[in-house]
Order: sequence, then structure tokens, then C-alpha cells
Amino acid sequence: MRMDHERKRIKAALERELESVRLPRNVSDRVMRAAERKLPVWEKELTLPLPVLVCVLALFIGSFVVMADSPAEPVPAPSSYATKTIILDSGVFAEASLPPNH
Amino acid sequence: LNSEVELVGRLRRGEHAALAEVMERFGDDVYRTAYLLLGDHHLAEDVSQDTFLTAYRKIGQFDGRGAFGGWLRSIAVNHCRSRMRRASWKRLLLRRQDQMETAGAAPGPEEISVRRSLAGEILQLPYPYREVIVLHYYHDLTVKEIAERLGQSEGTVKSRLSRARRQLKVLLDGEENAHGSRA
Repeated sequence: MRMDHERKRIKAALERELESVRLPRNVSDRVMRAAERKLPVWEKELTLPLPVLVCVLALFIGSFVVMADSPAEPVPAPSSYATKTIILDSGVFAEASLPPNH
Repeated sequence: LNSEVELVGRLRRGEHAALAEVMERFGDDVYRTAYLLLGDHHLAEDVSQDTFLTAYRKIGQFDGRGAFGGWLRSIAVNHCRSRMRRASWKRLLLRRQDQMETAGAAPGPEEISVRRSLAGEILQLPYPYREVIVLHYYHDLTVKEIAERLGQSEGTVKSRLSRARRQLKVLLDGEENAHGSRA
């Protein structure tokens, strides 16, 4: 009850104070001129539909997740074959794979 | 109400005359709301212009469930909020310069008369408090309606409203005392 009374009192005071505050004529004219201007197509279509927005965001976040998961240093693939360095007669080093049961 | 539905229908068809009629009918309300929230006539003009243009171009998004005036007001409040956000960035960057310029300056007679008014005191409140006070007291919106319009929880709106009310009371009491001691 007291709140309602307070609300009415404040509203009345504000309405009294703002009585002389009116939308200037030149603003309405500016709005009318701007409204008559045709919008370019891209500006009209600027609003993204929600599913498209979600897909774009998912792609963006997904790329970060993939990047975070990939190791900075490449890990060598484990090999079941042992390797042996052979020095050839020519003095050139060569590597040869040995069978696993060697 | 019927005339409002008809007006919205004409706006949807892109009639320019309907836009002029909308401004005739709701122009003062939108402009006063923007002025109460921003405290500056130039900014209020810009926000009013943006509000009517947004309404004209996005009339397809008005679902007709609530009052058209309320929808317009929500657009105006959103524009005011983004202006305030931009202004706060500017203030943050220019604070030092402003402090140097205003240091020691006494308020002029115009400023004193603005501050003595209720609207002037509302403008002294921080922006989020100003927003709920204007919507609750000037536009008669309930806590639930404000929460829906601002996209905030009812609890947040309720606590902001009670803090804003307390601060406004302090400001009004202080102004009354200062006025009394000056007289």
C-alpha cells in the first residue's frame, strides 16, 4: 500500500518535471529520411540464424580443442624392429632393420 | 488497442506514414525515457532516432504478445545501455583529463537546479540502479516485468531496486538538508 503510494507520488513528480521534454521535430525528420533510404542486402541479412551461429561457434571452439590435444613435439612411432648401424667399406654410415627375434 | 494492432500491421507493410504516426504517439515517451537514463538531450535524441529506426526495420521481430509501446521502450533501454557502455570506456580513458578540468569547479546555477529535481537526483545514481528506478517508478513495471525486459533474474532486479531506493532516499534527504541550510 505504502509502496503503491510512493510509486504514484514519484511517477507524478517525474511526469511533472518531464512535461516540457518532448521529442524534437528534427529527430522525427531525420528518422523519416533514414527510413526512406534502402538498406543494402548484406545489412538486411546481417542477423544470423541461431543454428548457423551455434555451428560457427562450435567450429571455433572445436579447432581450439583439437589444437590443445595435439602434442607440441611429434612422438616417434614405436617400432618392433631393432635397427643397427653398419659402417660400409666406403666409410658411409647406413642403418639396417633387424628382424624382431634378432 | 485495435488501432495499435492496425498501426503495427501498417508498419509491417513498410508504410512510412505509419512510422510518422508511431513517432507522434510514442516519441515523447521514448525521448523522456532516454533522457531520464542518460541525462543528456543530444544522446537522448540519438537514442530516440536509433530506437524508431530499429523498430521500423525489425518490426518482424515484434511478436505482438505484449504492448507495442513496451517493445519500443525495451529497444530504447537497450540502446541507452550500449551508449552507456561506450561512454564508460571513454570515461575510463579520459578520466585523468576530466579530473584535471573539473577540479575545484563549483556547480553552476543550471546544474544546481537540475540536481534539485527528482530526475536530476535519479541521474546521480549508478546506471544499473537508474534503469530499474525508471522502469519501476516511471513506467510502472513490476519486478518480474523488469527482469524480463532486461534479461536479468528477479532476485537481481529486486536487490537493485531496494539499493537504488535507499540511495535515492539518501540523495533526496541530503538535497533537502542542503536546500534548507541555504534558505
